[in-house]
Amino acid sequence: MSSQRFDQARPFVTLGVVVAVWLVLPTIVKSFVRVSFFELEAPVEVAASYARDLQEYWSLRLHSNSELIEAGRDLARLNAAYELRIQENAALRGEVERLESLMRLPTFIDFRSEPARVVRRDFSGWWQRLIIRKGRNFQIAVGSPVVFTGGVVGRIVEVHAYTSVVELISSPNVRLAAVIEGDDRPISYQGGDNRSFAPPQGVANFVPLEIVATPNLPRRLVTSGFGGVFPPGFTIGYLVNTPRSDDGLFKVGEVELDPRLSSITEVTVLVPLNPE
Amino acid sequence: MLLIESSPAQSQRFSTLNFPPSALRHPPSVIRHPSTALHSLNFPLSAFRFPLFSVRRILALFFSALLLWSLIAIVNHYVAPWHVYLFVGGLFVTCVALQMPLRAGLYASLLAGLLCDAGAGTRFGLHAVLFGLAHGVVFNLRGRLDRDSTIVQVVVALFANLALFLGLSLTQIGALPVPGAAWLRLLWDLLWSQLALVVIAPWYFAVQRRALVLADPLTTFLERREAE
Repeated sequence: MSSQRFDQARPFVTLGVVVAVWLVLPTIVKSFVRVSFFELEAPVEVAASYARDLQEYWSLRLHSNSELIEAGRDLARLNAAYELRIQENAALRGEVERLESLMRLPTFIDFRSEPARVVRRDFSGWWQRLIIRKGRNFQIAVGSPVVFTGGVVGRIVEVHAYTSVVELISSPNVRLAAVIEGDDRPISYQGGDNRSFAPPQGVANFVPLEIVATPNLPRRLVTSGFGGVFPPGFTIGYLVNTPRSDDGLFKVGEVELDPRLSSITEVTVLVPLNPE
Repeated sequence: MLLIESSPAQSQRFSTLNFPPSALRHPPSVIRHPSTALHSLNFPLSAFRFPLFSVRRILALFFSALLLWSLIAIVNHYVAPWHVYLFVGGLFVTCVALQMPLRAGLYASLLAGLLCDAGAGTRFGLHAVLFGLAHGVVFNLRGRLDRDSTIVQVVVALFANLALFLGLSLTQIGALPVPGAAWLRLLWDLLWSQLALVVIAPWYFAVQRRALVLADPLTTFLERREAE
């Protein structure tokens, strides 16, 4: 009888011994094992990503010349508008530097833009992460903000040899300091539950009572610049609902994020030029 | 090369394959595999307590787990725009727990768990521990099951996947801003995962069997004869 009980417990005893050994192992060993497994998986993911790019290239080759000419013409118009914006931006930067030197103000952190293709999306109910195709080989740093044309994507949480992991702003593990556009009172933003077949969402806490937002009149939520991670003014999402919180002192806001966040194929990493 | 050394009585028993099932699960000492033949070189293999052919089988299972992980990751990449996520942790554990000896099977399950942990947003080792627990439970139950039947394997995989999904959800639910609101998303993910598991389980079990045959054909052959 006792031998039968021991036979039943044997798998769990073995597992217990393995877990005990694992707990006692130094952190450096565990980190090394984790990195090793990640780098073992990385070539498979990157190869699949290159195969997708190749597939996209050949599908574009099937387009007729007239379609490509039209697309090129539309892009040329967009490029011309961006060129004008860049020139205005350069003039404004010069003005800011002149004022900073006149009033002896500290300069904001400058960033280097590093575009990167998305290798894999990992959007479960518990986390929302992207793997991008640049890592230490492009001097990507942990904590660097990641953006795209629609605003903030997230931040770099892991950097490996030639890939990096981005945690999206729709992930429940991400918190940002934000402000409503036109208001400078700080708000806490956190990624929320991402329901199936629905756009990504987040939650805004400590919304002032005077702020009112509805689906017909949404309020734009932008980065505040507090904390020095994200530059100020980048779009996070739109506040579409502001019910009162349980304590009645603030409101809780429902934030709708850009639906393109779920199908991103390319992002830009803002690598700080002078990391502190 | 395989050396078979036996007494006349033992060789007669071996030729009729009247071994008790437990002896075939752990190959009898009369069969000397090249790795154990290294004992003649005074190589301290016993210190590792792992014959080479067992390591080959674990590696074969690990690479088949890597294949499954890669395919599921690609599928998850394509269904991500709809906020759907497939979790098939039960597949990594089921066939291994039903067919393999305890230690080798447990190590294969733990390695598969570490593989899932490396790219996941959880504490490193969580999947491994959950897979190990599931392995232990299935291993204890396997004596009461027809473990060579594909249908039984698929049913066990479904239950193991359900338990693993719930276990993982319980450990991660605390991080959500509104835990109660996540149940609908998790329910959908579980539904799609179970459907996907039913579809791909027979294929994956066949891949594992083929990988084991390539890694160690003798043991696999003996196990198959014993099952027949």
